[in-house]
Amino acid sequence: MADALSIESLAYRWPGQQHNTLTIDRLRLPAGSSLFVRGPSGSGKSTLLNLLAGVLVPTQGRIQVLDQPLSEQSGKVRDRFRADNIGYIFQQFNLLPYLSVIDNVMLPCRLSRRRHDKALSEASSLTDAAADRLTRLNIPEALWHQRVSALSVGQQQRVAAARALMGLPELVIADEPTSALDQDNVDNFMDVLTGQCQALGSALVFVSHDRHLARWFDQELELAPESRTQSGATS
Amino acid sequence: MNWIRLALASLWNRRTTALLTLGMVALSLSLLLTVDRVREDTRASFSNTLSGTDLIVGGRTGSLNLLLYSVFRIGNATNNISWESYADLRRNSAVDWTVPLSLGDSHRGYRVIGTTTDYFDHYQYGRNQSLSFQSGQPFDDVYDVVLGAEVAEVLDYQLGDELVVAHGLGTTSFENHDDKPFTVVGILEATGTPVDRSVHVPLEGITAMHVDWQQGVKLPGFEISADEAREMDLTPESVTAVLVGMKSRVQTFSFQRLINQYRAEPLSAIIPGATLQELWQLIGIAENALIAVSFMVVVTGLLGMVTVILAGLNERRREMAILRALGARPGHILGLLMLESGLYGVAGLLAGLLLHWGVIALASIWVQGTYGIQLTLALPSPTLLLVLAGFVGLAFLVGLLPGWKAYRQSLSDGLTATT
Repeated sequence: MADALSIESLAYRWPGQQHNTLTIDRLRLPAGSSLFVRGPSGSGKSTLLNLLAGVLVPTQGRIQVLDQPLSEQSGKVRDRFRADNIGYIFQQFNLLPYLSVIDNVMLPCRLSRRRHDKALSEASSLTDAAADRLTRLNIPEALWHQRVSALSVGQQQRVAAARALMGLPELVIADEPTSALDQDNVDNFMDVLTGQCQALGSALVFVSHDRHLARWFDQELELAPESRTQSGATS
Repeated sequence: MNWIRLALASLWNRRTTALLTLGMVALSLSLLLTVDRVREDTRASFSNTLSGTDLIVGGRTGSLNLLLYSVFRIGNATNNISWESYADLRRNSAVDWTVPLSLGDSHRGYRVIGTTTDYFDHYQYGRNQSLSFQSGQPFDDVYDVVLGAEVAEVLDYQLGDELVVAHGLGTTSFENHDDKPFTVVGILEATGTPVDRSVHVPLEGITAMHVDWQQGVKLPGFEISADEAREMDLTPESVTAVLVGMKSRVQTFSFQRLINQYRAEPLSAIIPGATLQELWQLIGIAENALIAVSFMVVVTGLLGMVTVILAGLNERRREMAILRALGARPGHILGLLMLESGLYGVAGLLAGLLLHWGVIALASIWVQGTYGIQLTLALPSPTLLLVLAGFVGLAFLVGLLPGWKAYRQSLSDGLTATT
């Protein structure tokens, strides 16, 4: 099976800037495993996530996500690829306020035929598939048809994780999803997120400045503030 | 696919703003629709009022004025035609029929027309439709009266009722011909023309009412009863206007010239259709101004709509970033905003049409009663339908503006919009 992620001599420089925002010599993440990316603000964490999701293309080097050389493909293909294969979790405000909780969770399957079909291969309907994800992430059934605003921040982040896992994406990317949570919620969230990614076989790339979270992950990558980054793959 | 559903859900989430915006678009469109409808119906109503009449003859006056007071009961005559001149033109061999009209009195705001029974035989409206009776028959006696449909309905008159004619044209008059009451003998079918709002009496009735009057006032101590008047010679001294039908249409122009050069007294003859054209040219200027203003209001509505969408973009950066993360292409974001703009256009058009029909339905009651113009509930004219289709297209198109801004925003924000 292809690696979830492989990076070679990557450099990214924002247009008009003197220095590279981000450089990574080499990185490899096997399918289904998890990577913790740590670094202070300004170290290029967000840039890396945008590169992995195919929203940005590297200035130099090569990114391959699953079997796709993202760095060489057109924007349209990268957007399609993201819809089909990547679940994304933001820091906060992950959910569309005008859809119910369960409609938010089903959204990836509405925008991607591939994830739609995969969801239906494991459940009899999209609603059942969404119910499964919500149950896995400990969202009480009473909340499923509520408006998003009725949920606590911790619950919203878990719904976002449920959505990211809809339709079995090969890769889940999380951008500091715990930064708005209190300590108890962080532990709870980390447990269910890493546990379910493992259970469903999705690789996980998780970005945070909080080094205490490293214990949930197979690998760790540290981004230096001045961005001369070394490959820190340990396992 | 689901973009329409998403756009609708997103709009519903902002429904206060969305509904107000929709209201603005709908209101601007209904203004255009209503102005155009009133214009069409006014024209139709004027054109339908008189047909089959080749010439209208009156005392020397402006042709528009003559048309307005003789047919549309608007304004007043400045000069009359003497009975001798009328008798002379009636004798002309080219003339098929004549209908003399004598105006100047009223009954509770409705104008009284002194005429002959020829009126009921020869007056035609719409597509050469003749007058017909709802009940009763044409007048026979000096003190008989035939009512237009609206007069009878609004004032609730039945056959056999008596009414008194007032001197002059006001709704309330201090001088009534109350010594000579008239009896209702006929009620006409509704025609949708000023005939509905007319009270018809014989010419002799008009003369009888005025035998004891001079210079517009009643002579004190000189009263002649209704029955005494009946015995007198009631041939009128003059009439206000005459509707003329020619034996052959070809003779219309030469006869018109003859009248205009009439030696014994200064007279005017007009061809109703030609004079109506003059009226349209005059009214056309005002109509065009109204239509132009309506168009500007519609454009203002569109601009307002774009402004609302643009103003809301910043707080929707999160929404766009979430959609991007789920695989939406920047093109989808652009399309989503064009769709939203277009939905405002389509919904605004539908709401505008409903509003327009509502306004017409309500206003038609009052307009019919006050101006005798029948407003119709109908689809807009073909030209206007084209304009409306263009409007909907434009509504989608102006969505390019916020769409382009959101497109740029979503490219620069990527997945890391923090607002």
